[in-house]
Formats: sequence, structure tokens, C-alpha cells
Amino acid sequence: MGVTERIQAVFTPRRIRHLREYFTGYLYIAPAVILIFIFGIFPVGFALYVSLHRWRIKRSDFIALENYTRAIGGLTYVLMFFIALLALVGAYLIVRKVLRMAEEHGDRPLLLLLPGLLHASVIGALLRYLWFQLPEFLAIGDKLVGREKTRELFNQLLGESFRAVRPEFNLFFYLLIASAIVGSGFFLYRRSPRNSTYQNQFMMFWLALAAGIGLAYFTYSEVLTAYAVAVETGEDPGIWPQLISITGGLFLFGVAWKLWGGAANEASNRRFWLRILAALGLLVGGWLLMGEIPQIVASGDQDLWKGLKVTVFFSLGTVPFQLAISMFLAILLYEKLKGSEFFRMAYFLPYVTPFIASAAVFKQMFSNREAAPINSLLKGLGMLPQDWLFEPRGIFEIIARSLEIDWPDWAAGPSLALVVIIIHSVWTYVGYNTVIYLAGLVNISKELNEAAEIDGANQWDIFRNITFPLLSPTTYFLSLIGIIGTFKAFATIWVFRESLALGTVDTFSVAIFTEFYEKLRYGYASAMAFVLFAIILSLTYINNRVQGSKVFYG
Amino acid sequence: MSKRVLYIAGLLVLVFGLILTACGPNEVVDNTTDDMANNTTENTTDDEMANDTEEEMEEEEPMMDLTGTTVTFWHVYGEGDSRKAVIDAIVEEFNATNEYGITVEALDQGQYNDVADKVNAGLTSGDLPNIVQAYTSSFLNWDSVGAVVDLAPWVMDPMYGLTQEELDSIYPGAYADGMTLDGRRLAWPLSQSANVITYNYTWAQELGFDAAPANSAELKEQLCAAAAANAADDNPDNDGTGGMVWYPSASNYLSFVYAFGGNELNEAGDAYDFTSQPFVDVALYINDLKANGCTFETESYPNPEQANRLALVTLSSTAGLPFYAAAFEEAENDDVWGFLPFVGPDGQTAADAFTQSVGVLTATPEQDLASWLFIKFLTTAENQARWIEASGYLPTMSTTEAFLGDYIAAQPLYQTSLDLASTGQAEPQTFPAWASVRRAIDGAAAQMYDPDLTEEEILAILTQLNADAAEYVAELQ
Amino acid sequence: MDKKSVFQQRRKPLPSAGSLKWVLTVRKAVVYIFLSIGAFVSLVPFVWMIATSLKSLGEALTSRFFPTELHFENYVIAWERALFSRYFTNSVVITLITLAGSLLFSIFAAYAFARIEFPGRDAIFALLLSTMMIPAMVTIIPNFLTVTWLGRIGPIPWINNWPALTIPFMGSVFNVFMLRQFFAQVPDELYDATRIDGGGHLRFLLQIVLPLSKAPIMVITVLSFIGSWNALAWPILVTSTPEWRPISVGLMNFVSEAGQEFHLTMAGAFITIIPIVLIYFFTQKQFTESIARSGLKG
Repeated sequence: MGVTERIQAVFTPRRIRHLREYFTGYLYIAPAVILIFIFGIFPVGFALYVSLHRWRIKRSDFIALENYTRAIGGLTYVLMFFIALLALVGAYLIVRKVLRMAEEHGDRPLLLLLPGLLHASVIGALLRYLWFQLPEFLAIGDKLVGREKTRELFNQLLGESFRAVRPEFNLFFYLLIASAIVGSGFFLYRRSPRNSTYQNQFMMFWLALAAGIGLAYFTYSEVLTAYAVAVETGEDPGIWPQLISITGGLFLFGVAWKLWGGAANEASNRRFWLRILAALGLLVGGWLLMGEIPQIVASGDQDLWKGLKVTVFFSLGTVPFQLAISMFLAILLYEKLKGSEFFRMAYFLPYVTPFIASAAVFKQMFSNREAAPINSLLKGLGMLPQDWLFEPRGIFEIIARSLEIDWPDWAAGPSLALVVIIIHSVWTYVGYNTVIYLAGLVNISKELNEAAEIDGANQWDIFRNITFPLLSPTTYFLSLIGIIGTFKAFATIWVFRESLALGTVDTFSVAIFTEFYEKLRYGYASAMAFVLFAIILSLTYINNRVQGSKVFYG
Repeated sequence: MSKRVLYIAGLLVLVFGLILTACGPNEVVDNTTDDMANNTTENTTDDEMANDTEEEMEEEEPMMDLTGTTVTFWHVYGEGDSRKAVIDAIVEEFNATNEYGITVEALDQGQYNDVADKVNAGLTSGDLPNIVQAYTSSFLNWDSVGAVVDLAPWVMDPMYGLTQEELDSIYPGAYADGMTLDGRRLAWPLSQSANVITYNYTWAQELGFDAAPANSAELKEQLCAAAAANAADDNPDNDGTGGMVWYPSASNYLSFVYAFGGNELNEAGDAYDFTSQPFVDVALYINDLKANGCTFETESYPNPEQANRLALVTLSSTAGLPFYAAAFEEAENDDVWGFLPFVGPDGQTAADAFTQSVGVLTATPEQDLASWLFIKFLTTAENQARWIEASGYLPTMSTTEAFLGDYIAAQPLYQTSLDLASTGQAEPQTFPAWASVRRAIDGAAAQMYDPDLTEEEILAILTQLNADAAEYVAELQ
Repeated sequence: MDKKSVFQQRRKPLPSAGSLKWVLTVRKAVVYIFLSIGAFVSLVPFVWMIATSLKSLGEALTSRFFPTELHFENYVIAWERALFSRYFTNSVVITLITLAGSLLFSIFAAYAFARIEFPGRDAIFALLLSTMMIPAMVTIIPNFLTVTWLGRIGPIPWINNWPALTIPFMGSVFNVFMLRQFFAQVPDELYDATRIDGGGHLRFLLQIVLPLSKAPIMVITVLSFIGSWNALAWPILVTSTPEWRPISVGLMNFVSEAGQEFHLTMAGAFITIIPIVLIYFFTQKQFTESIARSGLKG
């Protein structure tokens, strides 16, 4: 069969339609995706590169994971091994999926591992090329110093920087061509309609495999280096025991979770309780094994953990209140009374106010002067005036003290200064959340409510059994946005920050900012940013698992 | 079939060949040569640059033709600020009259931290201004990546520099600011300001004190008398006020430390040391005031407290003068008030001085020289006087005062701060990592502001401060 | 289980007409009371802000709530000193350019993510979403580098010019996400109808989907205005002349300069929020409806 006939045989009208559909899809997303790659993903890659270096204003030595170990201590290695493990599991899952799919359709896709490997190596070569190209680009800035900055000079330097890494680029380029030829070759010679899917999946498989093995090997060698250094200083870094106990702890947690989840399905009471007991035992065991974590934490950056604690307080203090208040207001507004537009407007105003202005107002209202509005209000109610933004003591501690109760330090709660910021934050976002809740309510059919009312259900029943579950998608969305928002919040906290609060309002983001812009530790700050990224990502995942399962899609 | 096998075999060979070339020893070699090449080029360019300028200074310099040289000047005074207008006027005059044919373009870039962020980013991208206004510690950071021009040779240059007379008229504190430990000059002072005590003479007199406090014990006596007076009167709203508005910032804390005879460096002058007795004594002194109800805090500038007899003493920069004047006017308060230096236990006085500095970032030799020539013009006694009239800052040299006659006549209170100008003590701005250390002092001062602390606990905080400072310094080496 | 049946178990006798009316009135009153408390808390800081903006300096620094004399001239002073007239124009132009680009790009991307099947779609979308979780502070310098370079290579400079202030914000993940949620709800039958008429994706998008999407576009418009009204660090970084600086820079200049003149700061702040309040006021109906219809179902 000649090539022309082959092409004709391959490009059946159906396939052409598919291809055209793909092409349209890529064309439509191209402008937005290209922009987001340039201004959203490239900088993240750049920050990752920075985080692996000693970097103060300018790039210095490559120090691998040192910035990370400085931030979170030995936990770095544990997390790296977990990520490697996840990648390997991912690789396995992909293969399993492909094989099942192949079995279903009677395909023999294994030969396609080859083009998959080629595609994957193109991506690898691209990353490798970028790794070498980036420092060349960065050097251009230095070369421009002291010379007349003309376009010609810049273009010349740019050309030089490309030429400097020509071999790396060539490797990438030849691999690209080879993978294009091989990929289309297989496309022409094997006429399975799932050909490109297989090729893609296998590419992902190779990438995951390479990432898993590469990361595991890299981490392993880093651990060995850490031990080698430890031999000199005589300190035991204790990474292996940590890894083993944390892995064991997590494993036990996982099994406990399974047992617990399965318990509900057990028919007999005895087996139900057995399962619960076993799960509890495993939980305790897991907890004991995880007991290593505080020690590891102590070896990391204390500012970072303090920042994380403050962030958790901020998030817990803000998100639930904000959601509860705005849900309540939205339900009231939904009564469609006269003037509801006015109320809606009133609630939304704080959201559109520049925080520079609202923060200035809040500072005056929550001033520590006795005659300031909030303090006079407190005095009017017979309470003691407070220092507000100057107060580093926890709010529960203050309340307990005013009632003359002994209060343990660990339960002091967020500082009063942070409470003011939480109030400001809730005040700002309640309007936005109310509007979105209101929108969610519009979706709930009015008849359902009325039917329930005629049935004699009281307000609380309606809320608990109808409104609340039906609003769960909105709650889910808002809590997600709220958690991400509070973890990333920076500017408002910065405006409210007073040294007298003794760092009790310094969230994780504030810590990153001070490291980056004040101490100019670009490398370390970037590493912290990735730690924060990991935290937000896992919170999102947990939120998805916990809430996602309970979201009721009406 | 065989055709396909051949095809695949060929591809396999191709792939493996490529992978082998990719993953071979190539990588390791590349890595090192790459780094080495980078380092060497960086070093050589730096050295060459340095050599270039030096040579030019010695030989070609008198012939340097500056006609048509354009330099940019980034400063921190935004639109609508009267200080921007003066800078613009001086720049315009320079552009019209300078004999070299230099053109200066002055641009406002937000506040100090914005300018610093912009320069930091520009150091990566290569887009930098020539002259920049910044804190001395920022210049130190930029110097660590070799981006700042050493102005010392220009200052001393017989052709472009200053005369001996001019040099002699500069106050020692202002002159030292901007000089590194090895004698290079990274920044040149535009003007200065000092952290001082604002004091209400009339109220003090009514309280029975005829003279301003001469030492820290007298200061305490007067503050507590004022606090007691406010507590005793019929107005319950002003209870708890009357003494000194204290904000535990590095400036306020260090000002007292200077007056108590301390400074930030150890005796040898080669490392930070915050555990000397004056540091402890100041903390105890302030906490003692607090314990007796003679200090309190406010969330914003304490001008209205000062003007409404809610505070006998507030602490402020001398540049705050017009705002105090406005506050007194607003409160319709005719009390006589003025600035005093901080006082120590033995009557020693001190004021923590800051300069508003400009420096030059490395560009072409012509631009570097042109930048210096503009700075020199900007800081002549006459222009400094113009600048001071708009800003309320203090001069950096004795000759400026001659041009300030009208201003002093219009602002009689300015004289009280002017008297402090020559005695201001500068912070160790060019000592390594001062900016970070200073922020740590801010934190420590806030932590120490607690009357319940014992001397040991205060010493522990200061010892920790020493450790932090040492860490910041070590990081730079 | 049917939701209705939950209540059937405890059916109460229906109240008589008279007492029902009374109950409804009391209920209304209670609702109004709660709504008013909410409005009060929301508005107090605002009233404070406006009141302060009309005070003299001395009064502004006391804790008196309302001014004794109304100083409307504060607004004139703030307007002139902060050069708001110029910054306003800049901000509006910048927002409109950003909005135009952002809508154009996000509409197509959101449509493709919602309604076209192509390999790697979900992976790409997840990758885009994850960029929302990285703190912006570490990405500012690489972005600055990028815009500088694009300006050096391209035909027009980016720094000190509109591209640096607008183009990076045209690829907005949030807008794509929001529109995708909305587009996904448009019934499939409508698309099938278009197909039968011989139309493709483009026609379906332009003729059917877009006319249904006025509301989310309105939301994006309002949020874009709010966003660009608050942006400060980036505009300062990429402009060194006042030519293209937005209103936030004007306000910041003004606040730092008039920092001790509290009454003027408040007047300036109030001036800057008026346009956003107006935009919200005129779009609020669509605003609420649009969010309602986009569903926002995770």
C-alpha cells in the first residue's frame, strides 16, 4: 500500500471531524493559555528555579534543597519521597488504565510506548534546555550595565545567549522532529482510533516514571549528603527513622480510614464495633508514629511555623463567620422585602472600598485611645478598654483574665490584634458572599419551600433540610475561595501590622514577603512560597474530599 | 511486516543515540563549564569596569565630553508634593545652565520601598536609573552586587569635586553617612533630619517646671507630673494620658540609647553588640515610666495629643514640624513648644540623625560623571536651602544656614531643630546588614516594652537580638 | 428520600387567617431588624469615612463622630492635589483595554474548556487552576523581566506604556473558570439545533451562548474595575513616568503625602470609590442574576 492510500485510509471523514474538533479546541484556548503560560506558569517555574539557589537580588550558588530544609527541616526529604512515590503510583495507574482500555477494544498498544517515550523525552529535553538557557538570559541584564541600552545591543546579547546553549537546544529540536515523525508514522501505520490517546497516555506514563525515579534518586542522594555532612558535625540528622515512622503513621491512618468507612456497611453489630475498635487502635498507633513531626518541625524555621499558626487562626476566624453571616443575610434578603436593593448595596459597599481607606477607618475605630469609638462602646457596656492592634495577647486569654479565670497559654487563641484584622476581613467579604449566596438561593425552587411550609415545617426545618443542603455547592465554592484567599492574604494584614503586636499577626504570606522584599532572600522566600503552595493544594484536596462528598447538587 | 520492523528498529537506534548523547557526560561538563564561564565573565567585566573608571579618572577624565549625556533621577516625592516642585525647579535650572550639556530627567517612583523594589527588579532586567534616592542601607545591598558607583574619587577630584572649604563645612555625622567601612562613598546626603523630643514649655511651666529636662531623671519627673495632672483633673476622658507618647521603634529606642551613652557596635567596632548596659538601662527606664503611667501609645502620629495637652512629650522627626504647628493651630492652643535632644542620666544629649541620600548606579563613564555633577549642583548650600524651605529638613553643612534667614524668620521654631543639626548621631547605616538588624531592633524594642519584665529577661531579648544580628551579617559573607 | 416527606410526619394544623397575618407582620419586623443590624455594621465605617472627609484636621483627629462644620472644600483640595482627573482617565483606559482583551480570550477559552473535547483538556485546565494558589510576591520579578524583554523585542515598549499594565491581566484564570461554569450550563439541545442548521462552534458561541451571557460578562466587568482600582505594586513597578499610572498610584501618593491630614485622605479615598459604586449600582441586577445562572456549582 502506498503512502497516499494510507493517508486516505487514515483520514476518514469521521477522523477528520475529530481532528477538526481538536484543532478548534486548541485554537480557542490558545490565546488565553499562551498568556497564562507566560504570566502565570513561567514565573512559577522561575520561582522554582530561584528556590534551588542561594539568591540575594542576584543568582548565586546552586544549593539544591537547602532552602527547603532550612524552612521545614527533615520534612523536606519525607515530602520529596512522597511526591516521588505519588509520581510512581500515577505511572502505574496510567498503565493500568491504558491496558484496560486496550483490552476492552482489543488493541495492542504496547508498541506505542516508543513514541510515548520520544514525546516524553522532548519535554525532558525542553526542561533541560530551559534550565541552561535561563541563566544565560539572566546574564544579559548584567551585560547591559554600563553600556548604551540600544535595541541592537540587546538583540546582539540575546543572540549570544541563544548561541551559548545551542547544543541543548539542538538536542531538544532533533528530539522534537524525531518524535513528530515517529508519532505521525505510528498514526499512519496503526489505524486504531485511540492511537493518539495511547501515545498521550504513554507519554504521561514515561514522564511520571522519570519524575518518580529521578526525584527519589535525587532525594536519596541529598539525604546521603546530609548524612555525610552530619558525620563531620557529629549530629544525627535522623532522616531515615523520620521517613519510616511518618510513612508508617500515614499508612495506619489510611487503613483506619478504610476500616471506619467500611464499618457503616457492616450488617452485624459485633463486626461493626470490631471495625471501629480496630480503626481507633490504628489511629492511636498512627498518631504515636506521627509524634516525630513536632521534633522535625522544631528543626525548621520557627517564623514559618508561627506564621502557619497565625494563618490557620486567621482562616478559621474568617471563613466560617463570613459564610455563616452571609448565608443568614442572604436568606433574609431572599424574603424579597421592600428596600432589599438598598440592603444588598449596603452589604456590598465594603467589598468595593479600597482597603487603604477602610483600613485607615478601622485603625481609628479600633484605636487604643479610651475615647475611640469601640473603646467608648466597651466602656459604656461596663468593660475594660482594650489595646486592639497593639495587643499581642490571645483573645480567650483576655476574656478569661477579665473573668479572673486561670487560662493555659496554649489555648490563648488568636491575638486581639489579629481579631481586629479578622473583623475587617469578615466585614469586607460578607457582601460578596451574600450576593453569591443570594444567587444560589434563586436557584432553589420556591415551590419546594412553599410545599414544605404548607406541610407545617418550621423555619429551622426548612433551613436544615432544604436550604442548607441545596446551598452546599455555593458553600463549597465560597469556602474554597475563602481558604485560598485567607492563606494568600497579604496587603490588608500588612497595613494593620504594628510592631507592638509582636508578630502575632504575621501570617505565612507576611513571612514570605519580609523574607523576599525586606531581607532580600529571594531563594529562601521562593522555597517558602512553594511550601505554602503545597499547603493550599492539600487543603483544597481535603476540602474537596470532605465537603465534595457532601455537596448536594440539586 | 518486515518493513515495519525495519522502520521501528531504525527509530529505536535513533532514539537511543539521541538519549545517549543527551544523558552522557555532557551534562556534568556543561554544568561546570557553564558556571565557570559565567563567573569568569562576571568577574572580568566587573574588574574591567573598575579599571576603566579608574584609568579614566586619572588620565582621560579632563577630556571627557559630556555634551548630550542624559541621566535619569528617581526620587520619592510624588505628584502634588511641594517637595517635587522644588526638585523639578532645581533640575530645570541645572539643565538650562550647566556648562557640560548634561540633561537630567527627574522622575518620582513612589515611596522609598517602591524605589528599592524597582531597583532590585531593574538589577535583574538591566533597566536602571542613574541617580536614585534611597536609604543608605539599600545602597549597601546594591553595592553587594557591584551596582553602585563609588563617589569618593569624584568628591575629592580637583576638577569636578568639592573645594576644601566646602568639605570642611559638612557636619561630621552627615559626612560619615554613606561611607563604607573601607572608605568608599555609596551615597551623598541631600539633607538630614533627626529624631527628637517635642516638648510643651508652657504646660511644663504651669506644672512647676521652669526649665526643660536636663537629664533622664528630670524627664521622668516632669512626665509623671503631667500624667498625674491629667489624672487628677475633672475630665475623666484624659485619664491615662499626659506623659510621653512612646512607640517602641528602633529610632526612638536608639535615640535614648545614644543619650544613655551607648551605641550599636562593640568596642572594637567590628560587630553588632546590643547587650551593653545602656541598652538594658533604656529598656528599664521606659518600662519604669510605663509602670508609673507616665507613657502611653497611639495608633497614629501623636501630633494631636501634643497639641491638646494629652502629652507633655512626644517623639518625632524634625521634619514633622509643620504638622505639629498645624495641630496646635487647629487646637487653638497658644502654648510654646519646641524640639529638644534626648537626654541621658548624666545630662548627655543625643539625637538620632538620618540623611535623605542620593547615590549613583553604574552606567557609562559619561553618565556616572554627569550624575555626580548633578548631585553636586543639587546639594550646593544655596540649593540645599531651597530644598529645606520646601521640606523642613535640616541642612548637612554649616554654610547652608546663611541662606535660611527668611525661612527661620517665618518659622521661628525651626531654629530649635537647626541647633541639633550639627550634633546628630548617625546609625551605622553602612555596617553590613543594618537594614535587617534595624528591623530586628524594632521587634526587640516592642518585645521589651513590658513593665513586668525583669532585667534578666530584657538581657535575654537583647542577647537574642545579638544572635539574630550575627546571623544576618554571617549570611552576607 | 423525597424532601417533602420529611415534613409530612409532623404536620401541624394551619393557623387561622387573622393570626397568620399577625405572624407575618412580626416576622417581617424581625427580618428588618436583622437586616438593619447588618446594614448598620456595614455602613458605620463608611459614614465615619464620609463624616471624617468633611471635618477640619483638628476634628478629624478627635473621636467625635460627626463634623461640627461641613468642609466640602476638602474634596476640591483632594481632587486637585492628587491629580485625580488624570489618574481617572488612565485607570478607565487601562481597565477597558484589559477587559476587552480578557473577555475576548476568556470567552473562547472558557467555551473550549466547557464544550469542546480535545486531548489534554482537563490536564491543562487543572494546571491553569493551580496557578491561582501561588502567592503573587514571588512571581512579580519574573513577570517584570518578561514585560521588559517583550518590550525590547517587540515593536512597542511595554514598560511605561499600556501593554505592561494590561496584557498580563488578559489571561485571567478566574474569568475563564467563571465563564466555563456558565457555558457548561447552556443546554446541549441548543447546540444540536445549531449543528442541524449547518453551524459550528463559532456560530453557536456567537449567536446562542454569548447573548445568554450578558450577566457573567457584567460580573467580570465589575470585578475587573475593582481589581484594577486596587492594584498598586505592579503599576508602580512597570511605570516610571506618570503618563500611564492608574488611580491607585494617585491615591497612594496622596495618602503618603497627606498621611497626617486624615480628612483629606478620607476625601481622596471616597472619590476613588465613587465610580465603582456607580458601576455596581447600575449593574447590580444583572450581577446577582448572572451569578445565579452561572450556578457556581464547584
